[in-house]
Amino acid sequence: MTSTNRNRELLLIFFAMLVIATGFVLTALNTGQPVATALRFTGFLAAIFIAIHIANRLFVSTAEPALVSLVAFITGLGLVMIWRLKPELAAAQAVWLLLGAVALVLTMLTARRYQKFKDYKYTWAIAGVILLFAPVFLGVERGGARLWMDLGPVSFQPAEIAKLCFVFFLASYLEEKRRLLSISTKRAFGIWLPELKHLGPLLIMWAVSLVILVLERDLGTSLLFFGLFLAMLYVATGRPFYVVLGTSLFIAGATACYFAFYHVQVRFDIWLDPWLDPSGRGYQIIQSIFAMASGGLAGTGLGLGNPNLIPAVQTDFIFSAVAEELGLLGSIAVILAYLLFISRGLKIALTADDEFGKLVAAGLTSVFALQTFVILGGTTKLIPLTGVTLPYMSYGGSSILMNFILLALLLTISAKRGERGE
Amino acid sequence: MNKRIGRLGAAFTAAFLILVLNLTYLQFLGAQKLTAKPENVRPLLTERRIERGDIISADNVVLARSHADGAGYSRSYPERALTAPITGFYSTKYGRAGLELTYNDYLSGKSKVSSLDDYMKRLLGKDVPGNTITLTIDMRLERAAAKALGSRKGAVVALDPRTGAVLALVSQPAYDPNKIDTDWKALSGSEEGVLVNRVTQGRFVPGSSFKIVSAAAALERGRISPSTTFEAPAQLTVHGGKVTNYEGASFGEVSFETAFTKSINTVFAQAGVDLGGDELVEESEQFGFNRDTPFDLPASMSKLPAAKDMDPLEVAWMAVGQGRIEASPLTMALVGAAVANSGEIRQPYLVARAAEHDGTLVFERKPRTWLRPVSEETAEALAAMMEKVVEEGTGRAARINGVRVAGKTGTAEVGKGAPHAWFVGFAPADDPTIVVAVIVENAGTGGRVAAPIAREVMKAWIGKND
Repeated sequence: MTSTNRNRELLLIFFAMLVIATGFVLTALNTGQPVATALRFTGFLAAIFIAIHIANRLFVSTAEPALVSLVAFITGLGLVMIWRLKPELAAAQAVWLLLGAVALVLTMLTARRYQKFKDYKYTWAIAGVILLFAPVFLGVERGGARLWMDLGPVSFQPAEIAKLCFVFFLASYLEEKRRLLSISTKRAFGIWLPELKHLGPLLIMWAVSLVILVLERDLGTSLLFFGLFLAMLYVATGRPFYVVLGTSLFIAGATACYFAFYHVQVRFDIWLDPWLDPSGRGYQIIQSIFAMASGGLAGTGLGLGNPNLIPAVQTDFIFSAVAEELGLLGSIAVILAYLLFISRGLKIALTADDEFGKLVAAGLTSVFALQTFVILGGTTKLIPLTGVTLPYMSYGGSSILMNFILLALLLTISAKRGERGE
Repeated sequence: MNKRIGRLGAAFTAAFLILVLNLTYLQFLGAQKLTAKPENVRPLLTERRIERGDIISADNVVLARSHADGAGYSRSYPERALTAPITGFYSTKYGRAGLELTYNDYLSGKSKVSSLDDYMKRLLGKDVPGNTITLTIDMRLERAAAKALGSRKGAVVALDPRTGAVLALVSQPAYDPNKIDTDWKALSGSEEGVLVNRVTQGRFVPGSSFKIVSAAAALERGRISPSTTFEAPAQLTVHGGKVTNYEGASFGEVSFETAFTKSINTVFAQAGVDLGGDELVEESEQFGFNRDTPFDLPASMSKLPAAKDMDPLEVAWMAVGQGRIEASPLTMALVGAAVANSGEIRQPYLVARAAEHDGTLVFERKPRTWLRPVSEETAEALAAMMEKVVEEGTGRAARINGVRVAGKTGTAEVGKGAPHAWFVGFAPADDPTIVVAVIVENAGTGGRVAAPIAREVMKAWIGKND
């Protein structure tokens, strides 16, 4: 079983790299960039994922086999697109991928006894809050949101790491309190009600999410944290009441923000009708939609569309470029890759044999799924646009690092079970 | 807990399914509507990347070609204003006109792909170069026509009556299609209408050149032959109004043929009244009036009022060629072509064929009959009368040594200024290979101003074919 999983992984990585190599070569041919560079990038990526594969054999030999190849496919396609969109940024992204791989190995080494993490639940909470709010006081504003901190040559988005801290905090907190939270004798009008004192954490998370919304001007991150909290609360307690109450509270808070804050209002109005200001505030989303429309069923072909018309295309809007150049077929393939990753993540949660592991895996997968949905929904005008990155694909160091750590954690949890089971 | 994790998975799956459905709308079902939005510059950028095909004349002179520049291809027109009424222009800012508009699918290569090589390119998403279109225009004749018209305002069109192939098409004043982006304001606001192709879109009172149509109606539908005699007074009273001859001339008793040769208005007024408005309008419609002319360039309809809207006086004047008649030079050339081609009008055309960049033919024109307004006998009688016009009548300025030329002059009175000078003719009269229609705006009589221009064009053509 051990070697079967790893052999499968190697085969799947091979297939993913085959697709990516084709993508690189086609991009080179179509844009006139050197084929040698395309091959060098392909080789570099292949080396990174082979290295990860070897690390897996050494440290988590029974881990789930599909995750790494899915990440190889998505990061590879991301690198192809970044090279095609902003060639000067591709090398930096490749370096971030290398650092991501290092972070992955380090995480696998430190997280082998991840059950110990639950002993530090309040440390996680405090670290999370500090990371989350640091940019409010120390950060710089970009695109209307205060999410970045300048650390010398690189800027850093601490909220990315804060997500992991909150997953650990919530998993440890809920594992301990979940029975308390789900047991109650109170009923009103036939509806189950929890003890009032256990509602505390829920209200605190709600407040935190709204504070993010107000102080950091970022609906996406706010939605992400609150969604993560609700998903984990539901999985832990099995009480839909929390979800209903939480969603209502969030909608109420967001509505209040809509009327209280001009920038929230603008974002929402532009979402409802970007054609109100097609050359100004609606420009980005309209260009994104035009890009997708011009892609059609089969796409313009790599390097043959005009995705650079979309501002910030290499970060938040990278999916629009994929949709334009690879068409509906390509964009659905990418969505399926994300959905497969999510299903493997939840499978790991299902099969993990400790509750903490289950909650961590479910939490990590939820963060990943919510973030993917929020940005894909935003760029396709399904939901209001908020500036979050597309995991593994967008250009950006913090996002890459955080998601490789997330990958390492999922692999570790899946391997834990494997070790015991076989 | 596992059941809940499963439900969470179902919720995520549902959310992603909605994403896929929305994408299906954006990229497939609604894509065309979104792409057509005016804010979308992508279609223009895509088009700039296509190497449009050349437009070349029958004698292989390039009239429009594409050059690679930084962002794609741009268009140039080596013959500038001379062929602008034919090629039109192509601009990413101001759109397209002329053949650039009507043959866009061929020029941009959007028409079907026949070679495997192009099919592979298309699969790879590479742009396939557009088709080259070859015209029926003969540049030697085109230049002769332009030279004969000079800087005067007007139009010349020459075609082969046997096929309908347009051999020369000149409209003056014109514009330089190379400067459309820089000069747009001046061009589109021009009072002279430089962007209007006078041959196909100009509509003028035809004057006596319309007598070809009235004579055809009289011979075909009335009990009139060329030898039928008429009184030809200086003026005729019809329905309380007057029809007068040009410069008030009186001719006594003349044959219908003489009336045609000397363009006697009072005789045509009588013939018109005898025939009646219904017959006259009906016959005119057989020549292409009140009909859309199928042509490679956008063509305006030549118009006549309905018979029921005219009193006998207006019918009398219509038979003379004055009044509410609007004729394009193309229509008048086709009237001449009907006579020259034994009563059959061939559908006029400019584009002989379209070929892919590797030479594969994708379109080839097959001449076909459009209208059959008169019988062969009537056409022969009309041709004989038209030959007389040039031999001894008003069209003597069109005579060419050693060639039998037929024609009809027209001097169309317009509200103010000098009359429009018309000439519609063909040569050689016994076996016509070219029909020419000329109009010079506000320039004088057809015989003095328009006939010599037609002569130069016919001479150039027949001299070339010798």
